Formats: sequence, structure tokens, C-alpha cells
Amino acid sequence: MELTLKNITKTFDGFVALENITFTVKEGEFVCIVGPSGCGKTTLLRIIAGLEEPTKGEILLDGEPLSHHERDIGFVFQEYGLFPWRNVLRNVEFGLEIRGIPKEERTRIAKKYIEMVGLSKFERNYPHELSGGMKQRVGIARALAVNPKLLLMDEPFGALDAQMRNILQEELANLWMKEKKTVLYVTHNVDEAIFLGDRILLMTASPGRIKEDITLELPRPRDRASPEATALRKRILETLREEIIKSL
Amino acid sequence: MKSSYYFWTDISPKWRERKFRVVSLVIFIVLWYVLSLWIRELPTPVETATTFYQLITVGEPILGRTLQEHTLASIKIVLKGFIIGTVIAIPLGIIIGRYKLAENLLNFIVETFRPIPPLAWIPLGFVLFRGLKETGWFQIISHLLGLGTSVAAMVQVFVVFVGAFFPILLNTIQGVKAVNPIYIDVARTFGATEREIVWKIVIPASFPNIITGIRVGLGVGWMCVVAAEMIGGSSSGVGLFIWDMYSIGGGSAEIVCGMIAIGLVGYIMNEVLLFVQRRVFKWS
Repeated sequence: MELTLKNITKTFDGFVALENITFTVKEGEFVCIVGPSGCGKTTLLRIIAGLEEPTKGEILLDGEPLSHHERDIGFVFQEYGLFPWRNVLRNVEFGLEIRGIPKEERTRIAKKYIEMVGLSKFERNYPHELSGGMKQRVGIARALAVNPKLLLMDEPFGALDAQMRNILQEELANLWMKEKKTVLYVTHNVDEAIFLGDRILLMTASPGRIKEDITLELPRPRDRASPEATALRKRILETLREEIIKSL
Repeated sequence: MKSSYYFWTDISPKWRERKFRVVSLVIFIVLWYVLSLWIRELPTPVETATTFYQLITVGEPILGRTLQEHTLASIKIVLKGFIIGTVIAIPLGIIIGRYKLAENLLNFIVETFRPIPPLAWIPLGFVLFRGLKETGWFQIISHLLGLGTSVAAMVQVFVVFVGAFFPILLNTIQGVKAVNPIYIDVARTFGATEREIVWKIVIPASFPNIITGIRVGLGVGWMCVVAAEMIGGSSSGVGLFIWDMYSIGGGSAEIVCGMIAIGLVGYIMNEVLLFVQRRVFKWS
């Protein structure tokens, strides 16, 4: 599904969080938004998800207004947002329940996605019994279970340690190559963006604007240590550094 | 020495806990005994135990009812008032906790009524219910509650209701307000309606608080019924029993037995709800 943002502006009580954000994510593309903290990345994602209203501007999904496609969007939160009173299976079933899918079918679908993220053994476990990495796998399975056409991910691995983060990035890259969803992925981790993205949108410090739109021509699966990746990382980090210093 | 060493250290922590309970009870009874030697009006533990046995096997001298019959009568009243309180307080708490408009409308009233002690409602309760006694509604409600035509019983149920209502209401409001907004965001990203958010997110997420409110509410209700029974007009109940024993000339052992019954029932109620709480909330 193609996502188009036209001149999205968001102000909170006079504070400009986002200013004139315009970009398009093409069908099946994996786009990463990278920016310094406080640049409004999360707000942007929340607006696209319909959790917040933009002050100005327009969001189109396949050329139609957002409200027609609310149910085509999946969201993966940084804090996982798993319901502690539901076990893994029931968490993954949640979105299917909201869509009114009958019990047996939703269990079957949920199990499929739980298997996909490698947690079949933990179906009956409750979130508090899982590690951070497992929790986010559940979060991803839950978002994918409703078969969204657009997947929004808000620093999904931000709370994990570096090793776990790498593993989950690899899993996500594999999943994406299989499922071919359109993904918009917010992160402040440049390595992560280079590892995952087809494109990287660099944002400025507050007020958040799109500073640069970088297309990555690196082959997949990505090599974190390739010279191209290293050069790109250096360039992006420098740009970000300027932005952060400006915002101080 | 060796045996006392084992007494403190052996086996599981659970048993050690139980031993501490026994030890504290023994100390308590010894202190009680010493105190009862000093204060003649206070029955000794042995006298109390004997009387307790009499009261549960033979019954008290005025109405000839056993202590457990009186206790059961009080429990029935409490459960009625408590259930009505729960059924009203939980939905109201959810509405006040979730909707700003309802909060603004009702907060002032709730906070003004809340400091009024439940027992202060007794006189008004008698006046109102006596006045309403002949109306159809009163009779229907009284009949549904199995209270016959007793105004006193109705007042007791009402007082328990008032006592149980506020702890449940306040804990529910607090629980609803404390629901992590991310859960609601998750539900909204899946396109959940407000109704689904309330039923599938708000209620389960605030359940631990609601149960706490229920536990406190039941405890307060239990205190209220005993006091309400002492005011008069009732024909049974532990409160009445204690008051009667006092009226016939200070049967202090009987009075203490009544108090022990109250304490034990309160303890059991709390334990049952704690058990439920732990059972239901293995996730928290």
C-alpha cells in the first residue's frame, strides 16, 4: 500500500512539533525515519496511525483519505504494549477479535504468526514471563496477524540490548522479505536504519522536518560492515550531529 | 536447646510463617490472661473459650439462638448491601474514571457524600424507610432482598451499601485512570470501538484495583452491619447479640465471643478475596 504525506504540520499549544512533512512510501517499501530524539518521529507515526490528528496537511493511503483505511494499518510500539492479562495467544488474537473473526479461525491465524516469530512454545505464557525480545516478537506477531497493508514501527527494538536488537533486526528483515509489507520504521539508531531500510528519511531537530531522503542501493541481506554501509553511516551520523548541536 | 533450634530453622518458609502465627497467638493469649487477672471484668481466655463453646452449641439465653445463627444473619445482610454497592459502584466508577464530563459532573457530589460516616445514615434511613414502607416499590425491593417487612433490616442493608459503595467506587475510578494509555492506543490501532476499549481493555486492566476496592468495601460493610444492628429494631445479628448481652447485665465473656466472631468472619472474608485476587491475577 502506498502512503503519501502532504504538508503534515503538528503543533501543540504553539509548539511546532512537525513542519510541512511531505513524502511518499511506495508499495512494499521499507522506509526508516531517523532523527534526533524529540524531533517528532513518534508523533508523526501516531498521526499516520490515526492516534493523533495533524494540525494541517493530508495523509493518503493508495490515494484515499486515511479514514477509509484505518484497519489496514498495523502498529508496533516501543514499549511492546502487550496486555498483561492476556497470554501470548490471546494477545496475538486481539486484533482478530476486534475484526470479528470467529474463535477457531483467529486461533489458527494467531498460531501461525506466533510460529513465524518462533514462540510456539510460549503460547500459553503471560507477558511478564517473557524477556524483552520475546515480548516484542509477540508485538510484531500481533500487528501482523491482522494482515495490515502498512506496518508502522516505533523504535520497536529500542529497549533491547545490542545483541538481541541485532537478532531481531535480522528476523524482521527476513519476515519483511517474505511478507513484503510496506513498512515505515522510526528509529534513532543509524545502524539499524542502514541494515533495514530501502530508504532513510533524515529528520531535523525540532521542529521536525525532512532534511534528506536517502535511497539505499545496498544488496540484501545487508552486510553491516560493508564499506558502503560504513561510509553511509559516517555521512548520516555527521548530519545528525549537526542537527543535535543546533538543537542544544 | 537443640529442640528450640530446630523449632526456628527447620523446613519451609511457609511453615516458619505458620509457626510465627502460632507463637504470636500464644503470646497474645498469655497477655490477655495476665490482663484478665488484673481487670476482673475482662473474661479470662478459658472463660471465653467455654462461653464460646456454649454459644455455638446451646445458644444465648435471650432468643436461644446460637452464635453462628446470629453471625449468619449478619453475613446475609452484609452480602445484600455489598452486592448492591458493587453493582452500582463498579459501572459508575468506570464512567467517572473514563469520561471527563462524568467526572466533572459527579466528583463534587461524591466527595461531599463520602466523608459522611455510613452510620450517620441510620436515622435518615429509618425515617425514609418507615415513610416508604407502605409503597409498592419498598415492598418489591424488600421482598427481592428477602427482608420481609422489616424496616430495620432495610436500614442495615442500606448502611452496608453506603459503607461498601465508596471504597469500591474510588478504587474503580483510580484503576480506570491508571490504565496504561498504551493499551488503549494498541486497541485503537486495531480499530477498536469505545465499547470494545471499555470491555476489553479498561475493565481487565483496572481489575486489580476493582478487586482491592471490593475487598475494602466488604470489610467496611462488615463493620457497618454490626454497628447498625446495635441501633435497634433488628431481631438477629452479631451486633444485636453483643448489645443484648450488654443489656442483660454485662455478660462480658459473651460480648468478647461476639467480637471474636466478628473478627474471624472479617478475616475469612478478606482471605477468600485475597485468594481470588491471586488466582485471577497470576498475570500481575
